[in-house]
Amino acid sequence: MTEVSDWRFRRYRYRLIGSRCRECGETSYPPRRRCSRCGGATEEYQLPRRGRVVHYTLLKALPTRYNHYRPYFLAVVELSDGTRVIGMLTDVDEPSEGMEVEATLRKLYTYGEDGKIIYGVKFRPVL
Amino acid sequence: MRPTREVGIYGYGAYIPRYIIENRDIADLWGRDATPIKSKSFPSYDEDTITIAYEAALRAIESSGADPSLIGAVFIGSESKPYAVKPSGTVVAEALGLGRNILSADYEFACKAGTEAMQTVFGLVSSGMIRMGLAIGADTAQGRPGDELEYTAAAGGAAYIISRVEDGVLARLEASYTYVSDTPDFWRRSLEEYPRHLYRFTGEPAYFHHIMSSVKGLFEEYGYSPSDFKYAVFHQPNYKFPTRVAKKLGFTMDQIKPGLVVALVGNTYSGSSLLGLAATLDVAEPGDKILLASFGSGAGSDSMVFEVTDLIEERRMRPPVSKLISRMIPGDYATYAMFRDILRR
Amino acid sequence: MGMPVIAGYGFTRVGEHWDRGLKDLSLEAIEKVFEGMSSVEIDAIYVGTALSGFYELQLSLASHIADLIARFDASVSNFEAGAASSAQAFYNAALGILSGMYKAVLVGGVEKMSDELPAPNYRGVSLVEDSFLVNYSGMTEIGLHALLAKMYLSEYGLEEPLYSYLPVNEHENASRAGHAQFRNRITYDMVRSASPVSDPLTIFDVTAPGDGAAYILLMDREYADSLGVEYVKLLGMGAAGQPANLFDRASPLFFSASSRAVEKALEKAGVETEDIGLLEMYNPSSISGVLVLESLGLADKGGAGKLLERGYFSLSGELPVNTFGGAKARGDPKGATAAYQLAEAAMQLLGRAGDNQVDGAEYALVHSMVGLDISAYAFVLGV
Repeated sequence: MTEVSDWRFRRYRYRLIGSRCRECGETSYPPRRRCSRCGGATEEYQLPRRGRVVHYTLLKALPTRYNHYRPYFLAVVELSDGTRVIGMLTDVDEPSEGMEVEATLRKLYTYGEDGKIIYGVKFRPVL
Repeated sequence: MRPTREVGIYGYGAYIPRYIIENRDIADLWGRDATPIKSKSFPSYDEDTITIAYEAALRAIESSGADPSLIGAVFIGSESKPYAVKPSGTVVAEALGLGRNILSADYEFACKAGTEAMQTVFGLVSSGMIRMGLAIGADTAQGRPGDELEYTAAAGGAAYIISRVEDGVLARLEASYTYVSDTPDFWRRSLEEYPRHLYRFTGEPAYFHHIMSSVKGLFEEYGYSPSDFKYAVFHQPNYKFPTRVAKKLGFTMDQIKPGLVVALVGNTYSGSSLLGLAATLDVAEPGDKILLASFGSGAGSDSMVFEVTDLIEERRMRPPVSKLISRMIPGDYATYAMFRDILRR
Repeated sequence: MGMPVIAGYGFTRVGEHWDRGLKDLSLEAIEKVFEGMSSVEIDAIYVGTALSGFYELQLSLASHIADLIARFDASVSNFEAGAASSAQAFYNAALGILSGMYKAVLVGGVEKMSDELPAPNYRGVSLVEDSFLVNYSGMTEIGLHALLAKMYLSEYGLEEPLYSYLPVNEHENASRAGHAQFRNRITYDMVRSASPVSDPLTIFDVTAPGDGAAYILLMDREYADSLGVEYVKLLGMGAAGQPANLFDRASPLFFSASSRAVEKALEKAGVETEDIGLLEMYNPSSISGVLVLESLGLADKGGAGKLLERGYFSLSGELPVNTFGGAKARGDPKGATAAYQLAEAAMQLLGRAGDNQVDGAEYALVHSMVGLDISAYAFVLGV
């Protein structure tokens, strides 16, 4: 991903826009063009912002672009419509399974001091 | 100033980051006694003015049920824009799923940029150029380590959806006023990281003179007096200034108390008076009149009079500002320094 | 023309080869392939590498390997698919020989991971996963494995992460393997009490970066016979895939690509699962290894840990797995990893495994996968 290609994905990155199969209704995030279950064509689908933490892990082996601060929580979040997604948790010190969370917009990484700031969805406890 | 067609607040939202640092911790570090407030908020490492503006605006849209497709403008007032050149509003608009046919710009007038954005949207909505507009004041204000500002410079913001009264508002704008002069009490040169200020000069000739001139001008032109208002909100750079200016203008503590969030939250700059207004709307009842008076260094003050309508009950922000504050947790100076990029890895 | 044979192999020790690069490591491995062999005509050179374009900034690696050994008459092909890079190369090399076009293909892989720091490595090895998720959700391969471990423990109601007996077994096997990166013996308690990398996984539950090169000489059987070399037969192979996104799968805990690839390979070879004498599987973590075993039907769902605990998959157990330590202990130089697995399986079948020799193995199964089972490859070898 580059400062250009990040732009192409901004809607999906900012807004939890996933996909839904026109045939069988299967939902996915990130969006897919063809349904993984039935092969049917999909359409864009606005996923619900709220959900709950199903599983989480404190990632200590930090990768490039995400290694400037502390270890972070990576979680499986089940959104209120049942769709499961993987995302970072923020504003949380001790998550718990079942914790109610909602999607928000946060800084993901930057391209250095003079480069673009990349924003995207993270999950934080419901206010 | 009064718009040709009546306008008002359709919905409002606020956001304060989760972390606070106690003034005591800052004072102990620098060996000083001064603690102008109790604590101030600071943003997490992954927050900035854009994300705070987004949070506040999202809350405004969700709590009011406003149709995002009717929003024709996003103006963000801030003195801590993430980019020197590149609009913040386009990110916020895209993230909120607003249309592409919208006006957007970042406003800067020190702490007054938020109400400046409101005044602009009042005009655009009243003229019929747009149906609804978002005016946001948000900041992640920076104080140089050890400087007086470090005790108060905080992070937070509030967003207001402005519409015509006929579209249904929770508070009707009765009148507004503005007063500006070339009074440099606080500034930041373009490549500097931290602002400079002139200590006590920020008081009498700056904060007090401009707010008093603005509010008195409003009262004289439209015939108001302090007793007409259930509540009043003044820009709150610390606890002392707003309480003193209220007293000087003839307002009581009861009138300003609901909107006085500075003691725990700090000075959220462009978000400051707007956050105070949000906290006030959280408790206001139909028929209440509210005075809002901002202040921006440089210097100027916008005054506005709102009358709360019956729609307030169903459009109140969820959760209220008091909940945003009660969820906050203390961070130590090291965490503050890391999240504020004072301490870099 | 027919199923090809493995007529030679060569590899370097896996480790941190600070003073040697992609070409140096490749040359050592390739020279070992041809050791003691009279001149062989190479029709093609197939090279797998996961990260050479990132780390040594060398692209089109196969061209440069051909240049390295001055085999300018050979056609060259590059394969990039994480730890399955050289499995992909091997699969296609076999097709080349099956087609009748080639009599001999030099196929293998190389990786030089110690050239990078931890953060780029954690990111680099994750890039086989969906790039949207890796870039925008903060997900990494290790994080994904940790979440899978959580799902696994919760799904089967397991209190103890017995999957951590797998690295114990792998380190035990590697302790006798000269080419292994980690030859220290470890215990279950050591795995559990080691530093967490992403809970519940510790540093001993996941593979580490390593440098290494492994190459194989794949040949048409008649050509091998004419040269009089000892060989191992490739009896069957299979490949399959599934959605990269765990939640687009029927079950995140079932590696359907691995299962299907193995099914195809066994069917092609005409060999039953019960006839397999040893398994060289690819598992970049303890949990993924257990999921491979369970997905291949070699253990009950949720039950592989118990079998591991009682030594079922150890060298002297019912089904020896990762007989030289696997990716965890032999080492995981991504692009080369599958070539190591194939070479090690060949050593076992040829009776050249030394202290690690599995007795009486007639058939070996080699399994490889891209990321978390996005694509999988399986090969059945026999003598």
